[in-house]
Amino acid sequence: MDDPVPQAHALGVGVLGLGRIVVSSGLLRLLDADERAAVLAHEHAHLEQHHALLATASRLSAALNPLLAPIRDDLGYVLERSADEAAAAATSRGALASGIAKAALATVHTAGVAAGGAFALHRQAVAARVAALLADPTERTRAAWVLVAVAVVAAAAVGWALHDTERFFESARLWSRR
Amino acid sequence: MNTVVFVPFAASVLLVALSRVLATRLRPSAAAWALSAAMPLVAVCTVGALVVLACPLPARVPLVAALGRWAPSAVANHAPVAPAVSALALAALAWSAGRLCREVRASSPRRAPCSERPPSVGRRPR
Repeated sequence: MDDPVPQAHALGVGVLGLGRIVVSSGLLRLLDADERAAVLAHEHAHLEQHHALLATASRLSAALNPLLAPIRDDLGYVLERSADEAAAAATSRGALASGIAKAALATVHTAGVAAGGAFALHRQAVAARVAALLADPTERTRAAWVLVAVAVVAAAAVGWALHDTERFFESARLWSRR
Repeated sequence: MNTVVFVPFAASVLLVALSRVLATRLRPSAAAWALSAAMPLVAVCTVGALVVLACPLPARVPLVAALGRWAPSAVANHAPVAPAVSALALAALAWSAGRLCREVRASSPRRAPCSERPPSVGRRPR
């Protein structure tokens, strides 16, 4: 894409050849070969890990339940970090960190792009992502089950409430016959 | 029915708090899948809870009562939820449905330009 603003996007999902990666000429000019490879690997990771589907599911969930809206930002950050880690494993942590930092610095004065999520260059998120890339990667996964457990408890509670409701309407039929 | 119907709302708040803490501490891929699984499940559970809270109100409508073979007065006299709470839950359900429709409609134009672009060239760099 011929655009002086440095940005890269993964569009769609990476199944059946539906995914697309769009990179601006500004970004290609800004980065060296290693950084370009790392940034492209990052965008490929978004497609391979179906992040568009996960982001859509989170948007629809937040539309159904506005209490969940703050999680969209957390999930957005986690999806970027997940793509970062996949790209770092395929290329180099340093090259990716420097590619992200260079692109972020170049877009600092382009408010629309910085806020709009091109290459997810939110300023605070960039600092956290670069710091995470330069630190040792965490392998902690067990606590993820806590999140799933909360959802399972909610599902069990609704199942219980639905069962109670069914019994209430059965009772209402009996009361009506008296 | 008892307070258990309010658990999904508490779970929503708990999930928000936990996601803040765990998003930066877990391996990103694990956090992504856990959040992506938990979020829709809790959202659907919340809708289920709203349906449970709302249903005693429409059950008093004579046509619905005739279909269900109960007397509207029996439901009105023994309803486990106050009519005001049911009305509030009905309004929340309608609002959620509206938000969902708007979100689905808003994402449709975003997909169209993607499908018009040429396929990616090359493979993932190794």
